[in-house]
Amino acid sequence: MARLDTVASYIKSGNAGASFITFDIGFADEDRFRAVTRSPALSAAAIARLYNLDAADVAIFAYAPAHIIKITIPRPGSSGGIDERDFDGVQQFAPLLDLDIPG
Amino acid sequence: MTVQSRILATCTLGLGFSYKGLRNGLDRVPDLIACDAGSADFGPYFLGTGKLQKSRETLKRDLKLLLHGARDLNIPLMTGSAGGAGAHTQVDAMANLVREIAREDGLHFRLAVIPADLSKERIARAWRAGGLTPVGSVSPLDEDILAQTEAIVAMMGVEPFQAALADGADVVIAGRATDPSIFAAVALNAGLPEGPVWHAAKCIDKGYLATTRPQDGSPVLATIDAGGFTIEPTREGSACTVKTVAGITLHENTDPFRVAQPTGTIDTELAHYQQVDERTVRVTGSRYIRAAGPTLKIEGARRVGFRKLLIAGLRDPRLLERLDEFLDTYRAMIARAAHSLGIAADDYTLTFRPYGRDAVMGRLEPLRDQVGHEIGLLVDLVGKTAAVTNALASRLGPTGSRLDIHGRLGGGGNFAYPFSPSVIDMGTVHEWSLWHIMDIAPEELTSLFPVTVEDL
Repeated sequence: MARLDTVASYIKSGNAGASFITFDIGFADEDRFRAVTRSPALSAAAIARLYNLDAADVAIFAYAPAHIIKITIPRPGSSGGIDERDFDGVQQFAPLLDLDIPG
Repeated sequence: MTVQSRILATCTLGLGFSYKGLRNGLDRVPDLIACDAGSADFGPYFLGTGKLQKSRETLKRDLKLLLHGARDLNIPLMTGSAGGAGAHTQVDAMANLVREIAREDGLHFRLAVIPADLSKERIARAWRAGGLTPVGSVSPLDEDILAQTEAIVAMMGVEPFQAALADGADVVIAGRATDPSIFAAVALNAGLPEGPVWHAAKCIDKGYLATTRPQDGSPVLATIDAGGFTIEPTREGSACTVKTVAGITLHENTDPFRVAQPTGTIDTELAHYQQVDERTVRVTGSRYIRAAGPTLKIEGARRVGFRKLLIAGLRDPRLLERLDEFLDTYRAMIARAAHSLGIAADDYTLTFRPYGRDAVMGRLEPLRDQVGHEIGLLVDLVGKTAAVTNALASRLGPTGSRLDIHGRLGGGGNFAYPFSPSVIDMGTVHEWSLWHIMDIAPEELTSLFPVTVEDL
């Protein structure tokens, strides 16, 4: 097992418009990218558990040209609302760092 | 001769860029210099208030260098989403800045200004006709929300930029626009195919974010031909790689392969990225898929209240171990104070943001029970009116600071205040009231964005 933080070369989050948060997880090479792409650790169900969502609301893309896994989830409310915590969404990746990736 | 079009792109106006990189880029004799000047990421506040998101000084620095570069080569300079949200007050402020620079530096050119504001009547018409579709988790539209909406903009496509060129514009200051549209007009007018033009425009719309060293602020140069395009940084030391260029279509986007525009979709699923030398990438196979009918992305902001903040440091371990109990009691006491002041419960929102515990992640915070030795408590009060906020704000500090949760405060205080006054006025609060896709008639691609030109 390895933490996703040590397998990926970067993990970031940000707004995709006002109603979605998107995570880009970049990998240094094809091997690591493929290993994580195939792993159930980053399934829609796993992400849904981590962020208290329905798995149907989680979109996951494997973007081979840049070795990036992209995950998009809905925001709890539109960006900049009264109870906003992170209006750019840049810190919402933190729970992903500790995901266990079977090695 | 093979038709080519070269676009020199800096990043968002006012973020700064490498001066050397700009000079090198100008040496390559581009056909257009362009950059965006705003983003909805800054939040609904800037649309709602019409205030400039960046300082006049930083905008002027960038604008002055770009204007001189464009005039030296006699090529167009285009920018869109002026001032942050691309609302008319921001477009006017940016146009005034251009006029000021022209006057001070003795520059003469034709300026085109393109507002992107939309009337409530046009929105209401689309709504009644079922031609208005919400995107994601925006609150459902109703007549009250539309009536309360203070400013509405539509993201223009490339067509108004082309109309400005047809009017002989040298410099274009446009309101809200899709980022790629700001870059695509000159190359499309040169007769180049839509696939490579739109994908190139998308790849350079974040300027130096397409390079390996964003911190260097290098502009990027796209060279588009009938078969594809190349992209390279213009500052030495930076590079464009397959990863950085391919990564751009993912940036701030829900779908990594498709980017919607008013008349169609930039489709990069079949795009091929090739490293041609250590700093240049060539892209082929990009497509632009025309939509059945044109649409515009609509953004609207409405004011939802007036905010004041109190920042307090909590260092008492006896209080920190009972923080939830403290905050619940504090909230109840503020509710009593509101009642005594004749303020109804739904006339204000009180949000506690305990930095050091779960202020960033909220209920998603897995480490919520790991509280350190101090907490930065941000008490966030939003009243529906300025009067409600003022009245209740002066109760925030005394009520919380004197609340003796463990019975051993002895009449002392809980709140370490870094500032006097302890309450900070944040002004108005806004939310997105419109975040929709609107069906339009083809002629509205230009008629909703009237171009005015003037010779400076």
